[in-house]
Amino acid sequence: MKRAVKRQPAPLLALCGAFALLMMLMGSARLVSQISDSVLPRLAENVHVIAYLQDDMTTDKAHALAEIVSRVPGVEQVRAVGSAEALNRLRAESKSMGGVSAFLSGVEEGFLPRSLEVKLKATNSLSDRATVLAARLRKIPGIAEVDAMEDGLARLRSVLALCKGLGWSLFALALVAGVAVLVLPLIQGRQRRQQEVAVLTLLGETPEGIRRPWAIAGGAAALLGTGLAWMLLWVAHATLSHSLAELLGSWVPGQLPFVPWHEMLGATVIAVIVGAWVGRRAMPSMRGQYA
Amino acid sequence: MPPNDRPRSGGLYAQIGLSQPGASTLSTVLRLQDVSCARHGRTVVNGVSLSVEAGQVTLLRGGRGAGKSTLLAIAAAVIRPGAGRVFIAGRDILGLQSSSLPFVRRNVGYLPPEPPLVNDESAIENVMMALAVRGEAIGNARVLAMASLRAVGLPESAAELDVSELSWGERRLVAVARAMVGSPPLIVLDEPAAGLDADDREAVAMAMGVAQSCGSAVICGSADPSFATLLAEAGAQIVELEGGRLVGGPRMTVLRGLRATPAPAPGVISTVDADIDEELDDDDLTQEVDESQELASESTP
Repeated sequence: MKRAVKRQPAPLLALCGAFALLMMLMGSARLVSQISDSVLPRLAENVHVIAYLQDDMTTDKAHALAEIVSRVPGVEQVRAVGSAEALNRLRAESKSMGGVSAFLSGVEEGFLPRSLEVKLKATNSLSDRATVLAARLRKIPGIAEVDAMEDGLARLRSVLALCKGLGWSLFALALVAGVAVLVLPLIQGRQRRQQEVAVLTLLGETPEGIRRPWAIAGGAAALLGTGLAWMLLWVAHATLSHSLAELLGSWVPGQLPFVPWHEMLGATVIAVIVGAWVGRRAMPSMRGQYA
Repeated sequence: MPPNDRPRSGGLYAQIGLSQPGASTLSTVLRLQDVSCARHGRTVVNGVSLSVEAGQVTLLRGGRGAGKSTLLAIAAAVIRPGAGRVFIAGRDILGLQSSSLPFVRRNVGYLPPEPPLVNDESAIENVMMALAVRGEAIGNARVLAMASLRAVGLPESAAELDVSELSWGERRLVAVARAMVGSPPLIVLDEPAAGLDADDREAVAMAMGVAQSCGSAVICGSADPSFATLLAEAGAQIVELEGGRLVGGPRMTVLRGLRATPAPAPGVISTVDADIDEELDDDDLTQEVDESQELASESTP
């Protein structure tokens, strides 16, 4: 293997670089997927649709309406909020902002309308379903107004769409890099390797003895490239986590997850196997002279 | 020039029961039994039987298209004959599985008509490759390789140059050195003196003598009369090949011993009777090269 590395470093470096690029792209796609998966559950904790009830709707009717809405597919929870509770919440939130609670001290308890708070199940089509549910609720008598948080959900929808597009782009680039991984080392230095095969075959080296050093070198190059990729991804993840949290706000958990270690290990093992195979294939086949 | 006196530890010699070089009991290293070979519909070798024993040098002579290169390639287990049997150290090569042939070739130092070299490795590294395949340690391999290059007359300054920087003649010497390094049990050389000047031819002949003294069986094909003279003076046995057949004798020709043997069997041209002064013109030499090139293009991977 030392001779293989010493005499033809360029194809092995190319293989190492190709694996690093491939792993970085695939790891990035996986990270984007991880982040999307971590955002959705957080989103599910929020209320997605608020239906404000008319003043003349009775409590029984409000509860009946809540029961009906809870049976709509995709709805996880429906909660009826009374005027007093709504006012208390508003006072608590304004207190946290500081200095505005005095403004609310003169508000009567029945001033704020009753409402139904609807929490939808967390899926990729959350914002679309919230919009559809809001449109249906608006048609129900007794409901004065419906707020589907469209602005926020629309923003989230665009972020998730961006992540999805980014993920697909990275995957496509990873495919291209994968082809480069396979083709580039096979092309580079082929003539020189043909000479070496001819000489070694003449001198009595076995086919396995000729290919083994290159298989080992290919596997080692893949291991090195993959390790480098994980290291760079980790640095990028640590650097960008803070910026991403600021962008997505409370929708992001405290610590953005990295690629699970067992997936990293599996990808590394596969990379080493592919690298070893590419290394073996890099040696031209030897026609049996004694056929 | 000091001989390669590395003690032989095993390999082919172990198989034939020869424990040390120069043993008093001569053993047959190579035996061709009634081999024939056709190429492109033309019979090139026809019913040749030949034996070469340890510690001997045999020169195969012949004119254009005589079949020397083909016969040498058969002897080196590089090509398969159409008929007959090939024994190396008593083992029938044709009966071996193809996976075993590399292990046979490790014990045969073969110089083909157009020997492949790795151009971007140095001369000494090219020679060391032969030893590396045999499992020799790098340090010892380097010493042996340098000794072999010196033995064939390559200057030490050229040993570290890449082969691509050497002249044609120097590359030829590197290939000869690689075939003879470590004195393998069987050395098969096809035109080792081709393209070399007088000094280099003499160095190659001397190197062959050194290999012989270490117990190697050396068989060499050459159309060069001056080189043949050198070998004959060194005690080589000369065998004449014409039209793919051995000339003038029964097919089974056994070559025995060196000068201390009785009169040679009928058909064998002795060192006294050989018409070594027969001149071959340039066309004959060109034909020899053409035949060698054709063989090389068919046998290399």
